[in-house]
Amino acid sequence: MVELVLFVVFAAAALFGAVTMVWARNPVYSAMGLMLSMFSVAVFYVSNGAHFIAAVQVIIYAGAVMTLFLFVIMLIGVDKAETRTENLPLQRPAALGLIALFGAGVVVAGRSAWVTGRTVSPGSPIDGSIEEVGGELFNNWLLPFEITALLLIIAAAGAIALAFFRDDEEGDA
Amino acid sequence: MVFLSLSFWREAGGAMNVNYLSVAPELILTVAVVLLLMIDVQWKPGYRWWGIAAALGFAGAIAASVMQWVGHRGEDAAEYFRGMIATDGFSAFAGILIFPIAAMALMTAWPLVRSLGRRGAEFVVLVMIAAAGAHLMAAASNLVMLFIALEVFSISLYVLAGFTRARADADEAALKYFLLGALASAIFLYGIALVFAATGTTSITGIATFLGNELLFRPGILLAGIALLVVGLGFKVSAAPFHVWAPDVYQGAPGGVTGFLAASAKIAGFAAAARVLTVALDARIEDWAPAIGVIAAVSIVVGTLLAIAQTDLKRMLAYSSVAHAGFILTALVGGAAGVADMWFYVATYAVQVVAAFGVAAVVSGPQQGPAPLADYAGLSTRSPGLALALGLMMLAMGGIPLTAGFVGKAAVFSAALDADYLWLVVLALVAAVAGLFFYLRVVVLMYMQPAEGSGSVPVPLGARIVLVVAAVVTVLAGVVPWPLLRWLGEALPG
Amino acid sequence: MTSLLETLFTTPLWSGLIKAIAVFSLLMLTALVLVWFERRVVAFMQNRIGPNRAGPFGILQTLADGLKLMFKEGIRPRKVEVGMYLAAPIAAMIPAFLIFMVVPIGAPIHIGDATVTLQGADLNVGLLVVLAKSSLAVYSIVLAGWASGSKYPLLGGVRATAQMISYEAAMGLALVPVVVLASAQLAGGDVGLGTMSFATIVELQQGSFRGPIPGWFVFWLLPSFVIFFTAAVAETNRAPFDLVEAESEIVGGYHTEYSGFRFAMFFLAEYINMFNVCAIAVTLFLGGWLGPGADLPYVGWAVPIFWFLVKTYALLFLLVWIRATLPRFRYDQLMSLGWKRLIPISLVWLVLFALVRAWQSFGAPWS
Repeated sequence: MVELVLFVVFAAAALFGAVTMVWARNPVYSAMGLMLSMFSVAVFYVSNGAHFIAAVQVIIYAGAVMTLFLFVIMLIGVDKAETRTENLPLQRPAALGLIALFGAGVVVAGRSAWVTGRTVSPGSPIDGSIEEVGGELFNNWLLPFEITALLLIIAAAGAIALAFFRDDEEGDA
Repeated sequence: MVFLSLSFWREAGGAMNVNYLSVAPELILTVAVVLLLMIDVQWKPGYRWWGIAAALGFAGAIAASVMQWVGHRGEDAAEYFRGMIATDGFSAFAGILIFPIAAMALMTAWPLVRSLGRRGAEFVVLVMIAAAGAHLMAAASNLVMLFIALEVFSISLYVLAGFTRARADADEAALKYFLLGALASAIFLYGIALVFAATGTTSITGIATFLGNELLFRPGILLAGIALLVVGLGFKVSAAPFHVWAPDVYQGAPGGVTGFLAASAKIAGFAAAARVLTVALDARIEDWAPAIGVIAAVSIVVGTLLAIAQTDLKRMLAYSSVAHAGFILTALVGGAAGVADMWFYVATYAVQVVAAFGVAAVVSGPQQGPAPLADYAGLSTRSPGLALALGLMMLAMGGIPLTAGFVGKAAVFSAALDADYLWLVVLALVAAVAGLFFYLRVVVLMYMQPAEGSGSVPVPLGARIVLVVAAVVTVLAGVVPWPLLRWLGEALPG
Repeated sequence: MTSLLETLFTTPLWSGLIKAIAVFSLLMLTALVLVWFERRVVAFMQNRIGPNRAGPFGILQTLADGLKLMFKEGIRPRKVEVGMYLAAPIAAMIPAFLIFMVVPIGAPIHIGDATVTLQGADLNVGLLVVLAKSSLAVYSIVLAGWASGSKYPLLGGVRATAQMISYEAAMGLALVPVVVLASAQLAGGDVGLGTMSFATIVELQQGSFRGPIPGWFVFWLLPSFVIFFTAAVAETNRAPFDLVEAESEIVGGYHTEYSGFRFAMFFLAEYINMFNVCAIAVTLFLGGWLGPGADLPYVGWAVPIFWFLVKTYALLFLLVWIRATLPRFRYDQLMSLGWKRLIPISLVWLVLFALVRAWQSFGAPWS
C-alpha cells in the first residue's frame, strides 16, 4: 500500500518534471524539472531496495550535475527565454507523426509475449546494498570500472583544451 | 602499490582473472599519458617531451600488441577480466594496426600540435587515449565494455575535432559530431539493453552460446536490439544513411586531425561490428546479413554519387569514406568468413586515408578546415612528391590494379560472392568504376592543370615519413598481398 | 498487555512519526539556543555584553526576534520569479531537517520489551544520505539568488554553487577513511565488509585507542577530521567562507531580497545546518554519544544524550570562535584552498591510510 502510494506520487512527479524540462521556456525551470525527475527516480530505486544507487543518483545527478547546469545557465544569462519559432515547417507535424508511430509500436509490442533469456524468479528481492554493488563492481566489472578512469582524463584534458583557448594563442609555436 | 603484499594481490588477481598482457597496450599508453601530463605541468618541457612520451607510448603499445599476436592468436585466444576483454588474433591485429596509424596521424598533425601552444599536450594526450579506446573496442568481449571503450574513443574525437577554436567551422564540426555521436551512443546503448533483455547476458560469447542453443520463436526484442546496435556502429563508420555528420566534420576538423578521425573510426568501428555481428550474433546471420547488405549498397551509391559533386578535397574524401564503408560492409555479409577480407580492406584504407589527409594538411595548413580542390591544381609542379603521394592514394582508393585498393576490393567482392550477394557485388563494381571519376579528377587536376599559386609547398619531416611509409605499404600490399592476406587469416576472433 | 508507550514505539508508522516530531522540535529548539549562544560568545570575544534582557541571560532574545520576523511585512520585489522565490526558503529547510534524521543522539532505550533507537532512521547508506542531502541544500541558495531578479543575490547564488560543489568533493573524500577504518574495526583488523550506518560507526568507537584514550576515530583520522570540519564550515557558508552572503561585497548575497518570515527560514536553516555538521562530526569522529556514566541508575538513559550535546556544543563553540577570529577569504583563495589543498591532501591521506590498513590486514609486503 505504502509502496503503491509512493509509486503513484513519484511517478507523477517524475512525469511532471520531465514535461517541465521539455516545456519550460526558461532554462532554470527546465533544469529544476529535470532535477525533480531524477529525484523521483531515486525514490523508485529506494522502493526497489537499491539504496546505494538511490543515494548515488541524488548525489551525482540531482546534486552535482544539476547544480552545475544551474551554474552554467546563470553564467550565460538567465533572462533569455526561448523563442519558439520553427524554421523547418514540417518538423513539428513529423515529430507528432513519429510519436504516434512509436506509441502504436509500443502498444503492438506490449500485447505480445516476448521470450527473454533472463530467468529471475519473480518476487525474489534484489539486494542493492553497497556490499553487493561493490562486490560486483570490483570483481566482475573491474576492467570497465578502471577504464572509466580514462574517461575522466579525457574530460579533464578536453575541458582544459577547449576552455583555455585564447585567440592570440593560435599561431605562435 | 604492487609491492604491497604480493601474495594477496596474486590471490585477488587470480579471482578477478587479471592478465596484464591483455591490457598492456592500454596500460602503457595510460602511463605515458599520465607521465606526459604530470611532467608537462611541473616542468613545462614543451613539445619535444610530448613527442618523446607519445613515441614511447605508441612503441610500447605496438610491442605489447605484437606480443599478444605472438602468444594469443588462433588456438591460444583467451578472455580475461571475467570475460571483459578478449586477447586473440583479432584484437592483437587491431592493436598492430591502430597504434601505428595513430602514430602516423600524430606525425602529420605535428605542425598543428606545435602551433597550439601549451594546449598541444592535451592534443597529444587525446590522440593517445583515443587510440587506446579504439583498441579496446576491438578487444572488448562484453557489450558493456564495448560501450565504455566506444565512449572513450568517441569523446576524445569530439574534442579533437574542435581543437582549433579560432575557426567557426571547427566549432561547428565538433558540435555536430558531439550531438549526433551522443545520439548514436544512446541508440547503441539501447541496443545493448534490448539484446541483454533478449539473451540475459552482455557477454559476447555468452550471447553466442545462448543464441546457438536456444531457438527464439518471437525474437522481436532481439531483432530490435540488433537493429539498434547496427545503427550505432553504422554511425561510427559513417555508413549511409547514418553518414550525414561526416562531410561537415571531416571538412571542419583541422587537417591534422581528420586523417586520424577517419582512419581510427573505420578500424575501431568495423572491428567492433565484426566481433558483435560474426561472434555474438552469428546464429542470427539470416536476420542481419540482408540489412548489412542494404546498408552497404546505400552507402556505396550515396557516397559515390555525392563525392562526384564535391569541390573540396576533404568533403570529397568524406563522401568517399562513406562509399568505402559500404565496400567494407560488403565483406561482412558473408559473416565470419569475410572478417579477414574486411581486415585487409580496413587496414589498407586506413593507411591511404591518413596519407591523403596528411597531404591535405600540408597543402592547406594543419589548422585549416576547408581544402578547396582549386588549391591542388598543378600541384605536381609545386611539389612533385606531394602530388605523387596524393595521386597514388587516389588511385589506390579508386581501386586501380597494383595498388592495395584493388586487392582490397577484390577480397571483399569475393567474400560477398561466396555469400551469394551477386546483386551487391554488381552494384559495387558499377559504383567503383563511377568512383574512378572523382579520384582521377584529382590526379588530372594535379598533373594537367597550370598551378595557380607559385612557389613550392614545404613538407614537414613527419608528413614526409608518413607519406613514404604509406606509399610503400600501399604499393607493396597491392603487388604482393599474399603474406598480409595469410596473416589476416589468423586475425580472427578466438 | 503491552503498554501504550510500547505500542507507540513498536509500530513503524507511529514511531516514525514520533521521531520526526522529536527531531523537528529538537532542531527548532536548538536553533533558538544556537543563535543566542553565538551572539553571546561572539559578544564576549569582542568584549561586549550581547543580548541579556529577554529572559535569564537573554536566552529568550531569539524567540523575540523570531516573533518579530514572523509578524513583519514580507516584502516581495516586483521583478522576482514568484514560484521559485517562494519555494527557495522551503527548499532550504527540508534538507536541513532531513540530514539530522540519520544522526543517533543517544544509546538505544529499552521501554518494556521494545528497544527504541534515538535516531530518526538507521540507514545502511547513512553516510551517503548525508552527502546527498547536503548536495541538495545548495538549490535553495542558488534558486533564491536567481529568483530574486537582482544582481547581488545572483552573484551570491553563483558563488554558492561553485563553493558548495568544490567543498563537497573534499568533504566526501574526507569521509572515505572513516568507512575504511570502520570496515577494519568491524572485522577486527581483518579483511571484511565495512559499514556506512551511523549507529554502527558509533558503536565501533567503543574500546580504546591507546590506554585511557577512547577509541574515537579522530585519533586515527585527525587529518580527515580537520578536512571534514573545514569543508563543513564552507558547506554551511559560515565565516570565513561566507562569500555567499558577504555583506561588505554583495550586500546580503542570496537573501538580500528576502524579508520577514522567509528570511527567518533561511536564517533558521543556516543555524540548523551548523548544528547538523557538528553533530555529524561528533558522530563520525568524536565517538557520538559514547561517554562514561551510561550505567547510572534512573538517569542512565539520558547520559549519552548529555555527552552527545556536550561534544556537539564544544564543536559549535569552535565554529563560533572561528567566525569571531578569522577574516573572510577572497574568492580565489577559497577555490585554491578547496581544489589545490584540501582535495589533494585528502586524496594522499586516503591512499596512505588505505595502505596502512592493507598492511595491517594482509601482512607486511615481504611476508
